[in-house]
Amino acid sequence: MELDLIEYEIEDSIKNKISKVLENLVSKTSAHIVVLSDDAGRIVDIKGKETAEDRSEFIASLMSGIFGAASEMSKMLSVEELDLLQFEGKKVDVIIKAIKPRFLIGILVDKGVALGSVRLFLREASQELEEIFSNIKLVPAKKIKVDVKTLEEKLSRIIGA
Amino acid sequence: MKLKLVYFGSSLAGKSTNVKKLYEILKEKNIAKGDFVNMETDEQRTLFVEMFVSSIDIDGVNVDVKILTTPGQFRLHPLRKVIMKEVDGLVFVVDSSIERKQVNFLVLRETAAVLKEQGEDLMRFPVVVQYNKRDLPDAMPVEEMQVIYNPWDTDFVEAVAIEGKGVLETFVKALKNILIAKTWKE
Ligand SMILES: Nc1nc2c(ncn2[C@@H]2O[C@H](COP(=O)(O)OP(=O)(O)OP(=O)(O)O)[C@@H](O)[C@H]2O)c(=O)[nH]1
Ligand SMILES: [Mg+2]
Repeated sequence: MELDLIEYEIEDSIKNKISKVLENLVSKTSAHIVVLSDDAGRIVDIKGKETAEDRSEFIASLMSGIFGAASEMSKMLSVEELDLLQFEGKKVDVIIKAIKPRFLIGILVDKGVALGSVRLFLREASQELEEIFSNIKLVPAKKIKVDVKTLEEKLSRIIGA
Repeated sequence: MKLKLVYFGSSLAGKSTNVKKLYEILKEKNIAKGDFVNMETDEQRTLFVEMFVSSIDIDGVNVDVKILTTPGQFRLHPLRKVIMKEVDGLVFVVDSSIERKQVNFLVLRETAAVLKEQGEDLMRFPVVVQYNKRDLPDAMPVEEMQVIYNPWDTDFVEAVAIEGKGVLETFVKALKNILIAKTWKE
C-alpha cells in the first residue's frame, strides 16, 4: 500500500511577511538573535547572528521549555496568564514573549541596550505577528511515500539497525 | 519534516541512558546533528530535558527528529507537561526490575493524564514499549509485563540500554510508528 505523508507548512508569502517583521526587530534592537517558534519549540523563523540550524533548534526548544515551565508556575500560583518573561545575564538580556494563538518570540540583546525600548519594539512586532497569524493559511509540504510493510526495513537500512 | 520523539518512563528506568547511547550510535553514523544538550542534577538525574536532533534522509525527504527525555521523578511532573507539548511519538521505557513494578505503571497513568490535558489520547498515540534492564536478576518475565505495560499491543523491544542493546531497534520502531500514524492522520 502506498500512502502519502503530508506535513503542513506556512505559505511562502506569509513567511516573507514574518521574515520582514523579524528583520526589522533585529535592526531596531541590534539583537543577537530573534527566534520565532511555536509553543512546542518548533522554529518558524530565526534572524540574527546565531542561526546555525542545530543550535537554533536547541535555543528554540529551551526557550519554549523555559516559557512553558514559567507558565506552569504562574498557573500554580494563580498568577495571571504569562505574557512576557525576562532574564538578565552578565553580558546579555533575554526576553521571551507570547504571541497569540500559540507562538513565542525570543530576543537576545547585549547589555547596554535599553530594555524598555526592546520591550516596546517587541510589542510592536508581536502585534504585527498576531495580525499575520490571525489569517494564516497552511499549505501541504513535502511528501514521503510510505509503504507500511517495507518502512521498517527501509529505516533499518538507512539508520543501520 | 520535523518530528518530536519523547522517551518517558519512571525515574531511573534508563531513559537518559537510552538517549545518550542513541546519540553516540547516530553520531557515529553521521545522522546526529550538533550537540547533546543535557540538564541534570549532580546525581545524574534528569532535571528538565535532554535532547539532540537526528537528521535522516528518507526517499529524498529530510526528516529531522528531535529526541527528548522527560525527567522521571514525580516531583518534576510540571516540567514533564512542558516537554510533552506537540509530541509526535513516544517510547515508554519500562524498568524490568520487579521492585519498580508499581512505579512503572503510575508513570503510564500519569502520562496519559498529561496528554489528555493537551487533548490527546495516549492510547491512540504511536508508541514503542521498551523493556529495559533485561540483565537484572529480578527482571520480570516479558509476558507478564506485556499485560501491564503494553495496552496498545504495539511493538516492544527487550533492551539492556547500558550496553546499547535494543537502543537502535527501539528508535527505528518508534520512527516507523510515527510515520505510519502521520500517514493515517492525513
Ligand atoms: N542493570 C542495568 N542498569 C541500567 C540499564 N540502563 C540504565 N541503567 C542504570 O540505571 C540508572 C538510571 O539510568 P538513567 O538513564 O539515568 O535513568 P532515567 O530514566 O533517565 O532517570 P531520571 O532522569 O531520574 O528520570 C543508571 O545508573 C544506569 O546506569 C540496563 O540496561 N541495565
Ligand atoms: Mg534521566
